[in-house]
Amino acid sequence: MAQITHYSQWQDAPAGDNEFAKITDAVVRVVETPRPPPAWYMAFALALSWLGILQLCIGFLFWEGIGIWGNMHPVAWGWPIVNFVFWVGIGHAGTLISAVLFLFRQNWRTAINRSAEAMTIFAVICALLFPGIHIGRPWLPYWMFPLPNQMDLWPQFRSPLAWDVFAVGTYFTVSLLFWYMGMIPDLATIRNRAKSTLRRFIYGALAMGWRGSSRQWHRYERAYLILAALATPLVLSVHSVVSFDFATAQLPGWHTTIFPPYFVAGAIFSGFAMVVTLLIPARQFFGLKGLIEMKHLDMMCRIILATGTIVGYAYAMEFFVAWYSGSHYEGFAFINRAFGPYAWAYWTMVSCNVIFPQMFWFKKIRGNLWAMMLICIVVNVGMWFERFVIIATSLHRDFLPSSWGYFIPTPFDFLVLMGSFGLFFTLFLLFCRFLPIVAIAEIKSVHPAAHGDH
Amino acid sequence: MSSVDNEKKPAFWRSLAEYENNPAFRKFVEHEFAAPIEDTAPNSAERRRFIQLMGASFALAGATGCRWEEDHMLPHSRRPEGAVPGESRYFATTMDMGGNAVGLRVKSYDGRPIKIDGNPNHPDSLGAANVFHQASVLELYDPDRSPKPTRSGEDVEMADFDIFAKKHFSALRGARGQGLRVLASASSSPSQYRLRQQFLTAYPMAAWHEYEPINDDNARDGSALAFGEPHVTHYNLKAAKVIVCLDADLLGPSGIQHGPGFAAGREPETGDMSRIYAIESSYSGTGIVSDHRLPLRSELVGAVAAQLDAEISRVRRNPKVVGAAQAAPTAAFLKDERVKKFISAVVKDLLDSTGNGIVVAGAQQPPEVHAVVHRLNALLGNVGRTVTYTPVVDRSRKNYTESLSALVADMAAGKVTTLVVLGGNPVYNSPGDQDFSAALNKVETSVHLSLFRDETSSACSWHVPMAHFLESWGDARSRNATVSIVQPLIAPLYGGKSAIELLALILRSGPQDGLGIVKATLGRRLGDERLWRKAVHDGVVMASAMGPVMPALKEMPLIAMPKHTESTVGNGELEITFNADAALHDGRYSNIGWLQELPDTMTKLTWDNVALIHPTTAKQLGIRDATMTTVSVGGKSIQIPVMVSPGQAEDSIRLNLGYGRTHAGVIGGSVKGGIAPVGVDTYALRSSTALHFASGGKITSNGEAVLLATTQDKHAIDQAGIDATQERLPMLVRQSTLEEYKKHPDFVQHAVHHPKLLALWEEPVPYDGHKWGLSVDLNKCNSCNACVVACNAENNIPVVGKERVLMGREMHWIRIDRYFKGPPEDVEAVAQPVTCHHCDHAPCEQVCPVGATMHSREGLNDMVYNRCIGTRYCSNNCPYKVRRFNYFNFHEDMKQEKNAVKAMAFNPEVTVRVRGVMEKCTFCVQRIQNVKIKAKNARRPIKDGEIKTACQETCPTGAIIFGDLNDRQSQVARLQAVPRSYAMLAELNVRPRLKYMGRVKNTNPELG
Repeated sequence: MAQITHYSQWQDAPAGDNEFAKITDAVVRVVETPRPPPAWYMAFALALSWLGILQLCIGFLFWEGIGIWGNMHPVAWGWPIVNFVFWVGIGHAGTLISAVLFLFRQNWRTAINRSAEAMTIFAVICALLFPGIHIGRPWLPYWMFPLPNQMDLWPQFRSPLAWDVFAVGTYFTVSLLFWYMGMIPDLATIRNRAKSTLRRFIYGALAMGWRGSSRQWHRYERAYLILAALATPLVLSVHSVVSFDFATAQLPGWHTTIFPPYFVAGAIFSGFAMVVTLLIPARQFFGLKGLIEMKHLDMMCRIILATGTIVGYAYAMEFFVAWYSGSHYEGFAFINRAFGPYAWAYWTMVSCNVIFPQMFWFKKIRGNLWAMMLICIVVNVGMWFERFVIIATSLHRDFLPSSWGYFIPTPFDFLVLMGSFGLFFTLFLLFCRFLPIVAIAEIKSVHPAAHGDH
Repeated sequence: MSSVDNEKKPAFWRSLAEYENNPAFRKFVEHEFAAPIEDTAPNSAERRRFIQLMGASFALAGATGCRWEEDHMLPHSRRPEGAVPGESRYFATTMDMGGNAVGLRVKSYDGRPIKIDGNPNHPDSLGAANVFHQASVLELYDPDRSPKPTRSGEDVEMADFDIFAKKHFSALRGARGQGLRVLASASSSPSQYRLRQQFLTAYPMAAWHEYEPINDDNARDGSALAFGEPHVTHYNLKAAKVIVCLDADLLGPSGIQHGPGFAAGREPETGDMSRIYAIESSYSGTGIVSDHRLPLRSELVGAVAAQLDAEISRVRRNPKVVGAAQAAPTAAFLKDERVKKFISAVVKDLLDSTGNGIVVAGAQQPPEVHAVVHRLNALLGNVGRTVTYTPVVDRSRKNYTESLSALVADMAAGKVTTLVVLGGNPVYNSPGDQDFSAALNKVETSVHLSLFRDETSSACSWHVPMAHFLESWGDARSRNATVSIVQPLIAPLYGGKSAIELLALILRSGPQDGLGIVKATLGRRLGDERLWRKAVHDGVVMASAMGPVMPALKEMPLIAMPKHTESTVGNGELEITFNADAALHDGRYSNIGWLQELPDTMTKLTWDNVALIHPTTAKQLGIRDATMTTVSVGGKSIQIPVMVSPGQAEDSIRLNLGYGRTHAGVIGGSVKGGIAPVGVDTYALRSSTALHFASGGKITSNGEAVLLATTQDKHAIDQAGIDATQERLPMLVRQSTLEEYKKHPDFVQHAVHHPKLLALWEEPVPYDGHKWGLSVDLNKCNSCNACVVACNAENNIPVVGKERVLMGREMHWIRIDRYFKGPPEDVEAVAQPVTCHHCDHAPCEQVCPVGATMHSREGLNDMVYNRCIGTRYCSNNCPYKVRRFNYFNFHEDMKQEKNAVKAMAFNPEVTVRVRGVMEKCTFCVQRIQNVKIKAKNARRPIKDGEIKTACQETCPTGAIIFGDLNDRQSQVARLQAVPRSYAMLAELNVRPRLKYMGRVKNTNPELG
């Protein structure tokens, strides 16, 4: 059992002989400290107030109708669906880091996998909010579930929206299980170190009787592997299915076969950018620089660079295929994107997603936290715009010029988007406060101390 | 007596208002128990009113053509023979709008009139109806209608008015009518004519005036110039080969009777097509369907008429045509190559089709032009063949404008002590130079009869609520003088009086009720009860039409030339035209939401009027589209938004009348209610000497941008968008010339080439029973909008308001797309009605996650409102964008007690959609079901044409045909099989059930 020492709070991990104890201390004291730093309170207050605004907006939406948003004819899907796809995309990094990188034995992932998974869960929660409230009768989203009923009414399975229910639902369930199961040994650690009964009881219940026996470890690792194998296809499937919402429609600008890989690449791209955006301040505030090292951030920047380039290729390919198809409507959809009334959105997207990430070719940039932070925020803005461009610019000018229109968001569109960030950060800050933000057990397994001559 | 204790809170209470027991509530209770039933508005006695209405329906159902008495209103313990509750019944009536009477057939559901269509027996309807007829149901149930008479603005009872009238008019009778004047609005009613003669006998010193802001005085005066006596001109478009419209909208709202004849000349399949030339200052419906169109200032059209006369007289002599021809005018514009070519082509065509031509002048052209047109028709031998005349019944009537001017002069001179205004709204719609309201202040006693408490009502000492035409007995004459009956469909909701009833009250002799008055008028003709019943049933009195006459022509006066015949933009003087609004007419329909939200034929503008200006003129004057401008003429000016409109004549500004109402109601604008007027009042610029167009107008823009709620081109379209539209247009609206058509009748099939379209799956529905389809002939649609309003009425389509139209949330199930072909300076407009295409491979059906939009066995694309959760995916996936979404509860206003009466306008056979569900055209599935049930009960097959969709039924030109595609003999199946029939966007493999018939223009080869 680790020795209890009194550190001045929220400082760097203590130096000591026992590396394992240092790791445990560094992570668990974030949970154990009686008072988080003032920055946490400030951030939490801000996030909570935006969450409150979100709730008020949704309350008003139920009262008044979804007309409070800017959705119109012909742009029947507006910001709510943009936000949905955006958040689902953000939610991609978690599973990729936990499952795919685990299977590929990318050990550096252990520094970030827990927070990335948490981010996934919270992003998917934000995403799930939107399909529910964007529908005209927001008290009835459960009609999309296959619930047995006396009228024998079932979802209409030809609709990609019905596929979405399963894809996102499965993804959320598996991600949640994966995240929670991975946390059990760490929860047990917190339980073991708990001083109050209540604390011991709560963490004890969450730890589900973990004792750390070899048998438990053996089963744990098997289960983890199986879950990782199950989750891997989900990384590809969930955003592919989300992209079917667009790809299977016959709208020019939506109806393209490139969408599934392009969406997956974009999702990983935005997800990693979000992880970096969150981790840079987190490692700073919670004193985890020793665990989440510069080399980890460097790896992530490389992935962002790679996926950003794939996304750029997809943009170019869309144009090529639109021209090559010879279809007037298809060709116009893309000309209109780049040079029509929404050209500003298109070029915002291109510069944020294609041009800015190219700076990660430089090692200096990959070593500069400020530059990294800035580029990652820009990428997130760009990825939001990508969804906006796909949805709004395709819909606003489709086949019949008589029906062309121009979508303008209302203040509620802005408030709900900001509110969803409030929800996300509220959950993330609670996670930082009450759960182990680094996978203690896993990081120990890849620590030199576990493989040295000790 | 009040049942509520004034001091204590009640122990048991029915509403919060009762519990609070405030003065307003006490007043309400007193009112409820004090007022006689007849005078109680529905909001204060809903239950009683309901019983009344139910009773009314039963009485009506039992005896067609009898006005029910209140003592008929019995509980339904014994059902009248033949009346089936819930089954609609149809009754004939007539709507007289500004002297144009059109026979109608009204659908009544449990005693409520809910839908109006044309009466096929009536010569001015022939089964069609226009937007105003369609919208009159909503006018009937308008909660802003006046519920009671007012005296100096205070509510009083009808009994008070009766007492006043008795005393006042008895005294006047003693004074032989000294100082008494009547100002009536135009009416074709024989009863009103009879009472007018009686009035003038009874009050010999009194005078009778008539005024109508939108009128055909020019045509009347023109025929008087030509023939010495006024005549009505009738056109036989069916027999016409060449039709020349000089600033005339032959197919406008008062020209629906021309629809079938026009349509007959627009079928290239039959071989013969008419050729239509339109010379007009701004695009009309006739301009859209014309084969050649010359945009020209209205003031120059007279010169064209003179030129035609000069050229035709030179080569054609007719012994019946006396007098000198017009001298060839020396107008500058006639030297323009394009105009020259156009006129010589017209002349040649007219001469080539002697006896089969029509030249027609518009109501806004001065009488001299009309006179010359009569001469032209006579010269060309058209009279008696394509052009016929009947005498005018009411020859003594004076020119409306002169009549009003005389009255205003008398009023201003203090010669008038009592003025009775029968309908109309002269305070609002008098020309700007006639200060009617100032003159009215000098009149001691004024009585205004009107449906609403409008501008005139509030300036008069008495206001009397008018009975709507659907609530009162009356009579009317068509253009050829056929007498038709105005039959009430419902007891007056607010106990109003009709104009003839008020006249009878003033006369204090003869029958006082509408039915008695009408019977007294028509007694000689229809003394026999059997004949009377037949007339009421048919809506028209058989054989009452005037026979055609061949009046002899007289010497013509010369047509006066305008000051400037060249382009006037250089000297800063523009022409300003004043036009009836296609939706609000002269402003009387300002408070009807359907009409306010009706997209204008050309501009697609709702909820506003604008100054229309040609793109070149705008460029020359440095005016940007959708900015605020000052338009001035004759020393008066108004502030009005400008809209750059291709198709407008250069140097001509079009202004629409009928907007800027201050006392219309909650929709049209009300100063009292704090509701801003809709649009701008343009009457201020109109003068009685230049009623239709004025020269010397100016327009300056202050550059301030204005939001205009259009339903098309909502956002300025960039060059890429304009190019794409022009590129798509030949694929969407397929068009050719008659010459080309004769060589390639299947030209529409070659507009788009696509690979063979295969289905991913087998047809899930066998369509073994019926297979419904629709055919829309683009050659016949003149964008009159009647279908749009008919659909509103039939399908309970909500009105959403200007802000929501601006956001693109209008709800029309059928829309008429308008495209411009060619460069903005010289365009050709095309109209294309678009509604749900009911695709066999409907993209909307595949994407709905809850199966709320499904394919029926008969191929209808059904909406299940109950199941819809509103994902709006269907709308995104619809290539025709015909689906409409309820973003809010658009019927929220119904929750107010005052608006409960509006619910009576609903069609009970169509669900009123809730917030959050998608809706769209159903092919009027309720009508299909009704006929199916009827046919099944009678064990017979459905006849072709038995089911008509609402849009089809009202269409004056028969452009829309619905029917069963499985029945090979059905009209729709035959139409869809002709080579000219095509499916729009068929290349998407959606297999639409709606097919268009391509446009074929009978162009003159000389004009290319």
